[in-house]
Amino acid sequence: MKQTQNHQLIALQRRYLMLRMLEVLCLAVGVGLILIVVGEIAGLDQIDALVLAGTVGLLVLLQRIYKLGLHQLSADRLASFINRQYPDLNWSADLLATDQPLSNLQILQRERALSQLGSLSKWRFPNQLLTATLILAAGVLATLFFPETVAVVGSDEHVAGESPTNASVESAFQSVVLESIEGTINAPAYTGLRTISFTDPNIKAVEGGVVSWELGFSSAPQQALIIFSGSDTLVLKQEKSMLTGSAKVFNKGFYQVAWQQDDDWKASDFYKLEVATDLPPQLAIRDLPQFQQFEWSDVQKINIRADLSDDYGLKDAYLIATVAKGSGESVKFREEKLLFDKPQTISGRKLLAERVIDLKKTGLEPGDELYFYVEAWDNKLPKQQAERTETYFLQLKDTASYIVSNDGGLGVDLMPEYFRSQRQIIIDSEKLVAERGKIKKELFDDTSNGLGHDQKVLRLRYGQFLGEEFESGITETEAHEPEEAAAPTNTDEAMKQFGHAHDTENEHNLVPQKDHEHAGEEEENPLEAFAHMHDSEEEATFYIQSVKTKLRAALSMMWDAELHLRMNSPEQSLPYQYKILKLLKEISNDSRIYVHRTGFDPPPIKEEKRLTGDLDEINPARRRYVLEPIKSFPSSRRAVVLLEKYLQQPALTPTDDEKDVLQLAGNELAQQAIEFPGRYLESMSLLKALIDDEVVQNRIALLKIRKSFWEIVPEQPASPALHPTAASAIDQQFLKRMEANE
Amino acid sequence: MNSWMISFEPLLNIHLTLWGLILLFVIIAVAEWRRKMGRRVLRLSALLVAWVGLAGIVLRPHYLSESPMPDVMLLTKGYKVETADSLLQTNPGLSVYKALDAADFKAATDLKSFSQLTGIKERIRYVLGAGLPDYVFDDAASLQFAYFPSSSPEGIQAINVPEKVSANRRSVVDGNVNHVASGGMISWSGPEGKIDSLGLSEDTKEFSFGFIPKLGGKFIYELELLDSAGSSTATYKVPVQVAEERKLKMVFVSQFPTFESRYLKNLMAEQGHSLALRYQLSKDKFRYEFANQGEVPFRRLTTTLLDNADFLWIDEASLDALSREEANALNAAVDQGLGVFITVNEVSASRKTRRLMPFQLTRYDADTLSVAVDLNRQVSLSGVGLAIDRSPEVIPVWEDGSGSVLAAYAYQGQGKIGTALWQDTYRLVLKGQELTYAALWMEVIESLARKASVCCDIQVETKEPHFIDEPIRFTVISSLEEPPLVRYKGETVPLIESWQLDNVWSGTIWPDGAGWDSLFVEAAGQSKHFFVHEQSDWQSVAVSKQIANTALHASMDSGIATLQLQSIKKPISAVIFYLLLLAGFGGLWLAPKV
Repeated sequence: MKQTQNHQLIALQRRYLMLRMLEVLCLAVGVGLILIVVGEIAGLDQIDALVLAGTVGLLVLLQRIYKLGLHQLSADRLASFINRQYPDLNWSADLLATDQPLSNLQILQRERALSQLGSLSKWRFPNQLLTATLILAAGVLATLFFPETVAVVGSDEHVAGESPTNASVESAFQSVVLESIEGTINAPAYTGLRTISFTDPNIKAVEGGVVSWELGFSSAPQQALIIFSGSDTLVLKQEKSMLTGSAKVFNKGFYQVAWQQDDDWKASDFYKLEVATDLPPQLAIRDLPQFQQFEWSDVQKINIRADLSDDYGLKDAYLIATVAKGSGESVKFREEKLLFDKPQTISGRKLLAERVIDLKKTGLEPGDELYFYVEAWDNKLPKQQAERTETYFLQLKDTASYIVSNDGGLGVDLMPEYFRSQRQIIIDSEKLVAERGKIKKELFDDTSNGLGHDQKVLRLRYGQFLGEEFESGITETEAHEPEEAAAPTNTDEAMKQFGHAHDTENEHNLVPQKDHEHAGEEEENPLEAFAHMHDSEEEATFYIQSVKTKLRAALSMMWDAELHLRMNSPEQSLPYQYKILKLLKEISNDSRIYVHRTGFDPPPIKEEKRLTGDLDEINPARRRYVLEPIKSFPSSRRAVVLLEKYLQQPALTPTDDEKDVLQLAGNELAQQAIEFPGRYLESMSLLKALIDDEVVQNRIALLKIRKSFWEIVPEQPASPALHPTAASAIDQQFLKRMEANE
Repeated sequence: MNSWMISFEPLLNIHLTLWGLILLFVIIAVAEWRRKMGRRVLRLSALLVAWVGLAGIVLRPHYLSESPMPDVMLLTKGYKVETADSLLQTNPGLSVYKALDAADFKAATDLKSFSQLTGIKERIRYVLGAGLPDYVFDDAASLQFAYFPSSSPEGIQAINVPEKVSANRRSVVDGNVNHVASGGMISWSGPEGKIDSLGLSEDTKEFSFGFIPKLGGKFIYELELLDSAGSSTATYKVPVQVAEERKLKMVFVSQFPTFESRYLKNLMAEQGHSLALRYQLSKDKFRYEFANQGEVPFRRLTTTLLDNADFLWIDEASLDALSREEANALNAAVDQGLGVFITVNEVSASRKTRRLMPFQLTRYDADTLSVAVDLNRQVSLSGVGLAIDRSPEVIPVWEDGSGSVLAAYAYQGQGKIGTALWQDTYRLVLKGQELTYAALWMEVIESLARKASVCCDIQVETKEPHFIDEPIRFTVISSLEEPPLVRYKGETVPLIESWQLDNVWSGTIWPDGAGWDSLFVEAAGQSKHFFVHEQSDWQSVAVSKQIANTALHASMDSGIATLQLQSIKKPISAVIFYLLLLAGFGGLWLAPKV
């Protein structure tokens, strides 16, 4: 019975406690929210406002609990409270609370009180819940009215629901930030390099490699670009949460990311973009002097060992050897492509290639020379790169000796050797004609054939000057010379013996693969057939058109002259020879005229004016010009002075005008950064931060920027300057006295 | 020794007191006289004695007493305590004063600043330690003291920064360094970063660093001492003011165009100098060029043309062709300050007489000259086969390694006339040595060219480094009649005219802030810039300078034998006057009773 009575009273006690606690909490939170808003309006920092509101709210909470006595609410107090509030209980509520044994009368009264209490439980306890709720509502409304406080109260569990309205308000006030720059670098396939991932935005890629960027932003910008070295741009595409883009890189420089948010463009720091170029192969011939002479008796095998290397791999390598025989007009060249003995297949990045050349087997005779060089090709695509060594010379010493003498009557050797040679053939032919019948026929025929051979050699030399080669100029004519085939030395033999398809004056110093090159060029340049080409073998001479025609005519006649000499009829050959000589003389004169024409071509002078010395109509020449010193990097010069000022007065910040100067100077620095990204990128980033007021000036940053500007300003020649001086009276008097003494 | 010259220091106004005493004496004396009592004389005598006693009490008479003054021993930073102790033992009467930054010493009086020395300067007999700043000696030429210096501080002792530093020219900063640990380094850096460094050993006493500023303006370079571990032990700011170049007005006169004149003319025009050039086409026909200036009448060399020019480049053939009027105008212009460069060449080398040439040229069989234009790097030039005879009036501009003069000038009035023995220097440009070519000619032209005349020239006399709260003395040379106005931070600085030289004025300022500062000369419209260091900067240099300066003013003899006497006013004891008063009153009281 006693327990039941207590239970009812305790239930009442709990109900009252909950009611009051709700009231107090509403009041405290409401006051807190209002204070946050007031603090924001008063300009308090968000954290400060939060602390203030929390503290006051807590104080209100404690004060109300203390004031209402909720901390010491007991059954006795509740009973006395009920007695005061509800006289119908006849001041008997104490009987419900007591644990003491009761008298019969007391028990009776308690029974009555209990029955009253049943109806009492439906009654309302006195409270101020309505007021507290109103205060709370006011606080919530004020908070919503001033949205900037939402972020602060967002962490408050009582108020900050994760409502969609609040979330959108929050994002609208956060700027888009570039959070990450990642990506991959795909080197060209021929390099054999793996795909590399990067997280550092400063990239080092191989020339021709594809760089793919994945940029992470705090929220999606309207648009984002990658700007390369301040010029080219790459528009990034949205893919899932990232922005991506890829580009093939060929040139070193730098890049930065720019993005748009609310029609406002922002840019990141500058990042280095280094491009490693594919270098041509590196070649070196081991332990071999560039020029070597051998005695005939010492002729031996030469072991050529070449170190070949390339950064991404070699594709081919060989020796180009040229044998030179004879001297003067009868120098003959023979060129061969020699593959290496070891290894037979050229591949890999680095190797030692060897080839033994047996000088005797190459057909070298005393006085002959062998020139060779090593050529190697790498595997670069689309166009391979070649590199060659210097030309090495091997010479067999000549056993014969020459005496050089000059013709007494000719002080200066004006005429080329081949002009005299034609004359010599004529003299010899005339002599042979005169000797006809006096000498044996075999000797006559042999001599005539020999002269025909000389004529052929001469023709070959002239053909060379005209740019003619066997395949285009001579074979055609040879078709008309059936006797040539019957001659003791046929064309092929002549080619082997006297020349080569690639014979040129500078043969041993040039890359001779003409056929290959032509093929390659045709593939590469289909327009060649339709364009005006200067490099055709027909046109590639130093001669003007008239000279060329004459030379061609002379060559044609040389064929005829040779034909008749070969047919042992020098008489028929001589007319052609005379014509040849005449044409050659004309060519010689034409050349002189040509030289003459290159000189000053004066305007015609009136005969009556000549040598009179009349200068009346010649006015003095007057020229006026302004050559203000052109100072390179003008903004950088001004920026150095500004930076010096900031260094000496650290409290200064750049004004708008000064920022303009720094911006222009930064543009000048950017031009240099394309050349040397590693050297100037950091300075550019620091300068950008200085202009954007993003960092407080610090001495080291300023020193770095100043150093970069100082570096790009070039040295200039010293200039004399006017120095001021003030003459005192004593100086003047001294000079006067000196003058007087003089 | 005492002097019995009595002086009074009355409690009240002396006149009031005297008149009051006299009036009191007269009234009492008359009253005493009228009293019908005997012993009048005795009473009046007693009254007089009492009156004298009273007057003595009120007027407080003093007499002069001379006594020897104590000499002063001044202790400054870094003094040796043993030296001070032994000096005090030898001269127990010494008063001891010490500077604020000096170590404590028994019974020493602290000086808050050296300006407190004003009263005791003449009594200073011993100075110990780092010595006294220069300005202390300004008004104390007769100081006689013995100096016991502290040891020189570690680090840089002295530094010489050229006063005039020009852009694109090599300048040199040098100095002395002391007590540096072996293995350290002294580093020299500027706007371009680190420029040069010098490894230090114990024998290292001097250093020298070169630099070529690219721009005009005021810059701070830095000297840094590093120990063997590479850590910085001291950093010194070196202010360098790179002067903005002022352009010259030049006149080129040539009988015929040469590559030499053309290249030089082109370089000068590209550098922005005003230039008028004339060479002869035929007898009466000339070609004229005007670079960076308007056309001027140039048919003849006139006074107007030459007075307006700073530098004239002329060949000997053109000189010979000058008319008498032109020659007179040229001479007059040179007297007024024009610089003339006469070119000689191989053709004109053999002539015996030369017009206007101020010194003797003799034949010399050498067709190649060698000159060290920059950093002892020898440059070979083609010579004209002449030599300049050295004489007192010859002022060399360039010399070869053996000391032979290659280019020189001599004064004529305020102007200069000079020549050089080289030819075809334009080949340097063709060889890509344009900087060397410019440096070679820059020296010649600048040394010859007219100096710009300004009304006032200001020079800072106090050697660098300058410090906050220390005086900087400067001199103004003025050609104005009235005293020049020099402003410092908006205020006019008082100037004193030199008693020896007219129009030479001097003044002193006391800068109160660190950094670049300037004096403004109003008449010239120009400022003189200087850099003021914090007191903590350049301490080793400042202390070294102070030690040397104090030693300069110190004498071998401390002068302690010549004692100075001090005259002190001593009061006559008041007890005497009270006794007199008592005796007087006693006499007056006893007189009727006797």
